[in-house]
Amino acid sequence: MLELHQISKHYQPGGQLIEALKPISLTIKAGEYLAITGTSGSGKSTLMNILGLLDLPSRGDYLLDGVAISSMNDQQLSQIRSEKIGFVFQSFHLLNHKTALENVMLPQTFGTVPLSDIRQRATHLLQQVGLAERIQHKPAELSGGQRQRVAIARALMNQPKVLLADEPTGNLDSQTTLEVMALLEALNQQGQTLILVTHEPEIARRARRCLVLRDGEVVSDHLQRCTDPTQF
Amino acid sequence: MTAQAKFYYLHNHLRSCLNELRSHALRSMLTTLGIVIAVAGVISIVAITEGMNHSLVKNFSQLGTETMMVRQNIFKAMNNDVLQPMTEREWFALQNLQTGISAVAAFSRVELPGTGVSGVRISYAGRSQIGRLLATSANLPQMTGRYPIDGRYFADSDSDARRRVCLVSEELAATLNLQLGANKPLLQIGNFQLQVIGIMPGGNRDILGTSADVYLPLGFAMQLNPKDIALEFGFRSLDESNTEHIKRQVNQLLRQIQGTRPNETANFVIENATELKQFQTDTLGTIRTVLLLVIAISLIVGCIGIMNVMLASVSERTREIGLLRAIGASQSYIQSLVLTEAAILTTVGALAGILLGLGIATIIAAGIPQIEQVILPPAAVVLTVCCAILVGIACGALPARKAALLSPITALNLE
Repeated sequence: MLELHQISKHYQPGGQLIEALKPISLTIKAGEYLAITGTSGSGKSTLMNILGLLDLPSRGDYLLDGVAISSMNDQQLSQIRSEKIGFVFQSFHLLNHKTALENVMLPQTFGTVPLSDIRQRATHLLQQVGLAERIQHKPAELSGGQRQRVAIARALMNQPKVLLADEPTGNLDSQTTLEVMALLEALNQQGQTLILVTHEPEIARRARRCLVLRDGEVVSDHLQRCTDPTQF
Repeated sequence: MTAQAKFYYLHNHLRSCLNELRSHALRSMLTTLGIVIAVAGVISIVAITEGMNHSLVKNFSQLGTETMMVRQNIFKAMNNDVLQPMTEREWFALQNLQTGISAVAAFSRVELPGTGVSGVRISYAGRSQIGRLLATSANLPQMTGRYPIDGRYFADSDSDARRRVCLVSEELAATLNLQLGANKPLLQIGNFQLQVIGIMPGGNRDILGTSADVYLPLGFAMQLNPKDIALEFGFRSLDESNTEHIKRQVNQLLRQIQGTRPNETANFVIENATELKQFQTDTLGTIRTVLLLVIAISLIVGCIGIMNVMLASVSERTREIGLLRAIGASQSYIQSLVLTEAAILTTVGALAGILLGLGIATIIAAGIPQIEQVILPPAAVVLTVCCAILVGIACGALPARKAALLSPITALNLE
């Protein structure tokens, strides 16, 4: 469903060429559970930004759900982001002045869906992530794990083709980490394509496929669980 | 997009803007303050000057172009010069001037001890009201063309006999619930009781200063407080083509009587109705232009204030904007979000300004006897609101651009 052909990314701050990502080809199928891992500076964030259409590759072709995105303008890219990609961030990125419900509703507020339908779907999603009792709470009144579950509900709002989770447990303690991972994996069990970006071997090891990056290159792509932590 | 989809899109869009503004209610209010004040200024000036203009037109339509007025030259007093008031002496001399003028009407404002800015207390049968007094000669109605709607105006004999009679304005009569019956009602003004013998139309406001709440005979008024009586005169030239000549003669006569030296400024000005109207209209126009210029400057200041706050608000919301971009908001959506917010702020500011301006105008007009009512032309309201929306969009343009061009990656990674 995601196809990358010789994708690369380089920056030129002050004349010096920095290759953040060396040419990578990669295919991710629907329903996969993939972990992208590596040390900081390995290019995993750059790859995630490109996969999530937040950044454009310098070279190469990227087909998302069969559509080539290289020649698209901002409007079209935003549209695809809105319809096909759900983001989960390390620091949740919830809006503090809105309630959990309003935060989950957010992705559809710039669309053409009637407000009552948006509210209904958001309420349903919050029930699904186990926060039925918390829908009117502001983020400040929620625990870290609850906030991340609100963020996951928000990511699911537009029924995305792929869920991109960037260090989703980076700000959580070990107990809530397990809960959030269980939730994400349950979604994957239901067929949701899940891409996890993490630097933690224990988290990466849970994925069914593991992509290890170092200095902008893929050093290993296991089609089964990562077993060897020394690879990082 | 279908019409229905478009509706939901707009509805959601507006809601997002309003939610955003509401979550920063204090900041939103302070932002609009500049616009509120500027618009209130424009509206109050327009309402007052329109009201004044309305009075002008109404008053002068009653007066023919042949009507001439001799008034005190208040500019002389303003220049720290001694202003010699006109008295019965000048009135008699004018009446004896036989060259082509009608009978001369004389009138003067009367101030009793304890008279405030808006007049003196007038009581009748347990009710009372603050009002203005005007002492007039018996022939004032012939000059102004306004006659009693009930009863009669006083006669020369009333004045000569110092009779304590008066007429009241229609408005005052209504306020005091006063009616002319078989027994003439007695009005209490200060320490005096006056018999009401007639009711004059309208209220106490006009541009010529020939309207009041209570009209007294000159004879009685002079007995009351002769030093405060400063007469002004009105008459008609019977030969319209000869007004310049009459003006010259009146001028010569009055200077001679008052003993004004050849190089000295006269204590009076002679105007005919057309000149008076022109002068008043010109003055009104000048005042209006100057004030509107001042307001234009304050509007610009208000705009800069809005732009500044919007820029700060965009910086403050960088992470939020980054998130919106990540979850699918396009650059043009972010841009229109900020623009709409600015437009809502200025529109609400303009509407509040209109209400405030009307309030201010009403309060100010109450203190200006020449204004009968404030008038706000609908065109001025529409124009102000349109201007405000344009200003909002102009002010929001730069912040909106800045917000739209934020890179979502950088915006999200800000801590």
